[in-house]
Amino acid sequence: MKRPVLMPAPLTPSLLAASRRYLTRHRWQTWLSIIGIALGVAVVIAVDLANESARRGFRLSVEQVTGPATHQIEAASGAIPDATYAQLRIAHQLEHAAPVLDAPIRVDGRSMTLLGIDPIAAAPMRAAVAGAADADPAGLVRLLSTPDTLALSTTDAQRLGANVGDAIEVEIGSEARAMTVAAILPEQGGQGLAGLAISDIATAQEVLGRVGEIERIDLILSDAQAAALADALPTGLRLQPAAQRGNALEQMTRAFHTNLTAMSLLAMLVGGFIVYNTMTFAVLRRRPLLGTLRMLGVTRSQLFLLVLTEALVLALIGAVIGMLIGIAVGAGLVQLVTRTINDIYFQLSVRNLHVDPLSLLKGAGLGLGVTLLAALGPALEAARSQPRDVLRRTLVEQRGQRLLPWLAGGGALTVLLGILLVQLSGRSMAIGFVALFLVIVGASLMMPLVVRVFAMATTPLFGLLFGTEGRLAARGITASITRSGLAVAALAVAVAATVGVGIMIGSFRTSVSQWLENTLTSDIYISVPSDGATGTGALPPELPEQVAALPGVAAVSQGRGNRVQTRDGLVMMLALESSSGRPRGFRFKGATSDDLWTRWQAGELVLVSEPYAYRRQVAVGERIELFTTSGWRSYEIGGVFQDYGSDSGTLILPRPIYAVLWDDPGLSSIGVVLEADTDADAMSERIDSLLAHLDQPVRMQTNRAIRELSLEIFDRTFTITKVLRLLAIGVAFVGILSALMALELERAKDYAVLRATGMTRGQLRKLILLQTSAMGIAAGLLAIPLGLAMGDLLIQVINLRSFGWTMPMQVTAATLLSGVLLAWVAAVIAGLYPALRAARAAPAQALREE
Amino acid sequence: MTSQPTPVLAVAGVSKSYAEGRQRRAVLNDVSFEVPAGECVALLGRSGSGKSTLLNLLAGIDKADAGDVAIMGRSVTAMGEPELTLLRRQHIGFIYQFFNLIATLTVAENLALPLELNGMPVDQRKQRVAAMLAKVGLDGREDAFPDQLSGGEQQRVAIARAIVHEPALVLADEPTGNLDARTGAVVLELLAQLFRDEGHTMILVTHSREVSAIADRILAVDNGRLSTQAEALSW
Repeated sequence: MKRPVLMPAPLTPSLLAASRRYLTRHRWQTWLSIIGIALGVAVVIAVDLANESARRGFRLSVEQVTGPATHQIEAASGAIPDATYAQLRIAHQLEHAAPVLDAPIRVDGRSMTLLGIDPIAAAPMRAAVAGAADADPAGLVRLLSTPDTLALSTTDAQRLGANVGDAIEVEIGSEARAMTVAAILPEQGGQGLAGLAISDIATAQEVLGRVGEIERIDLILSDAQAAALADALPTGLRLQPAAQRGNALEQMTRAFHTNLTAMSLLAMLVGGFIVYNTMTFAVLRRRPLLGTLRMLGVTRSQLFLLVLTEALVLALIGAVIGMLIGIAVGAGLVQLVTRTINDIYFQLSVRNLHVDPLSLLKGAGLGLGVTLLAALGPALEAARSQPRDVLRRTLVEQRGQRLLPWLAGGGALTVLLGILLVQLSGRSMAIGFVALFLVIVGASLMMPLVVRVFAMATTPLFGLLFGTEGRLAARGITASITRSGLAVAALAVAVAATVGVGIMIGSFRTSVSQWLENTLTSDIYISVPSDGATGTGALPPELPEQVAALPGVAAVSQGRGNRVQTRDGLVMMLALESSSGRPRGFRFKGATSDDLWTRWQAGELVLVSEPYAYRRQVAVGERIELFTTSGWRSYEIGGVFQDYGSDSGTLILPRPIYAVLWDDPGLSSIGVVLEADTDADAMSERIDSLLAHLDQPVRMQTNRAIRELSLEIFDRTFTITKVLRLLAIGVAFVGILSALMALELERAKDYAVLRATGMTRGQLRKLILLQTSAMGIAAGLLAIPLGLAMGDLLIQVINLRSFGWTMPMQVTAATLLSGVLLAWVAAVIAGLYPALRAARAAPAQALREE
Repeated sequence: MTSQPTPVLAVAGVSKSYAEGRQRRAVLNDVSFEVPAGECVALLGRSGSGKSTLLNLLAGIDKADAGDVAIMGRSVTAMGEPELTLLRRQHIGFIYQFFNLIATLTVAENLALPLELNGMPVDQRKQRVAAMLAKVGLDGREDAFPDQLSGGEQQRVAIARAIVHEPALVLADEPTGNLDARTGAVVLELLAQLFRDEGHTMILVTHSREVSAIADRILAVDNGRLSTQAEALSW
């Protein structure tokens, strides 16, 4: 006999109507779920928009400064003498070659770039300059002939309210200087000129204190011309593709952007929990109804599809709302991202949030994907509905209870898989994050069983402390563990995230603070204001001697910071020299070379920072190559030192060696060690009066001021992390509110029976709040081990793989207690409305069959 | 030789037991009976007698340990899940003690659902629903939701939903068990009238002799065994 085949049936209008009305009838839960998804999507979109806007701003500024140049000539020392440029141009008949000197400046509180060019040489290469010259020849003449002049874009001129001939105040480092607007450049299409202050190269040299030198030569070359020129360049100069410089800088912030994205994904994960919770509740609540539908002939696939369709509708509404919130939050976040990049990487100006449709689609798509994934379990559960479920209502909970050990076992395996991934994934940051998420998901699967054990164990205690209500509250958790366990797990994950991130930030801050104390061995520091990217400017060479001669000064150390070329790109080089012998303040990771300081001072060894060693996978005894004025030179690594100052790595050589090999005798900083009984403030005043005679900007800071400023920058850096953590807590709060609401509303009938039996409104309120309190405390306690595990993973895996830093984990009782407190407060607040509602409800109405 | 018409329901040697700790408790023991088309059979028994288990086996929502249940000549015992779903959808109607209407569907939509699932075109569906509502005396209430109806009205909707797609077999589990005596009597009369008029085949599970009185035949279920009408009336 031919067997009847049940074709996959579509959802019928009545099924869809039943579903739609279920969602609208339970609008509180529906909306909480939508808000959960929306917040998750919003955080992801906001972070992505902020990241993309920062990257776009960076690319734009690189393009503006680079122009259409294909190649650039740079010097090992960071400075090319004017004469060398002229010789190269003539010797190699470089048709499209222009000297450039640029530096970050601030005008009216906003970051801009001072771009010093030779307008005549640059005109054939830069359409904007050529256009401006044609439109306003007089302006060009003023720019070339008048000192301290600059040209602004129309946008910036309008923003500043400046006209041709007006003086504007320009901050260069810590020095303010009045410069006159010589011309206003018409806006071009594409990248525009906003954010640029263009001056003649001679003006730039003068205002930046770099007379007689340029930073680089921009060129337009064919590949063949480039190859020929590269071979012919004198020692100490190198030709590189123009894009390389931007790429190298952009690489520096990659880990930072990735970490932000991961934080946003955490919020999305918590959002996924909410959806899972909501959909599971929806399925469990409707189990008898689903059984009835199965009796009527509705297929498993139809029920599966029905639940997924509901989730999809929630996700779509949530995604649309999330996109709108994401754009609004992104506008605030981009400022935080930019500020962090400015603080720890390089000067960057991002004027507007760039709303990239792709970011919106990515966020919305992720929201939809996570929602559908989260709804998959409940949908399968719905599809498993048996027609007999209609007849046996307690079956669901019984089956759920039986599943708990399996769920916990699966969770334990997932956690183990996460730990295994950490061990096997080498240095991959992405897999590190996957492992972190596996640990979170695995732990949350184990939680319902632990919550049941907790509730069962504490039932006598609750009874003893709070009487009948206490006992009923604890038993209520056990009786509906499939749902209460989920609510606790969602809250615990969110709180664990805050505990874990809190531990990571706390450990990091303590390590940085100790490192600063160890590294800053001088009492007073004198330095040239720097943009952090290049070693522009230098202190007068006679200054160290003058300072050393001051009574009360025990020793003077000198330093020069500059970026040098390695085979893997630019790296910060710190050249040190101390009048008291070898430099102090180094804490090495692992063993160092024998006879370290003698060989280092002889120029045989280079010291590398921990992030450098981690990123380039180099160790003591291995060799690295550096580009010097005499070409590539190889150095043996003598030691790997602890350094939280830069995540892109730092190299250290003796200053006398560096000065010769990079032809850079300049001095960036002086460290002053005082004699034991010398007053630092009094000495500061004396040095200040010494510096007052200098005709260049110089910064003087005490050891304490630098430490305070560094920690201030540290805290500022983590502001964005804290904001994201708050957003994740917000999502989690919505989750616990949604879960508790659903749980308490589902028990409306039980409560009605209790009320009908003689329980007062007050007793009912007490019962519900005790129950949510117990769940909150359970979540808080469970969040501690998970938070510690997350903190450990963030420090030992994520931080290391992202930035190359290692640090000991520091856990304070306050961090852990605040986690428990947060969970309890969130649960109690979330329980308030259900408690009030249940107490107000008329028992007769609640007792009616739905 | 004239062939006997296939009975709508044929139960042959069905046994069922459940585990209770390490022991098994027999709920049904070698139960056999047949129900020809158009007959209404009452399964009468006390709580725990095994009548609900028997109903579950007839509906294919539980599996027998031994024996066979055949509906319209097809063995339910041998059917897989998709075939059982299709069988319920096309050939069986259910009436429950607790109505089990879909709370989020109106009266008309509740009735239309089995027709929709069977792919009936919208126009015909509407006509059939309207006619059925008129039969159960609920015309004019098509847009009401279940929670706006009284218990008796809800059960009338449930009866209408059970027969709207003209199933071969209707299984009714204590259809008046959740109603007061007066309403129960009204619903019972409606049920009896509908089945007489329409000639449906019905299995009526009840513990009430009054309810079982509407059946053409009564089978008493006691300790997992079936007994005849006369014996049943004696307990």
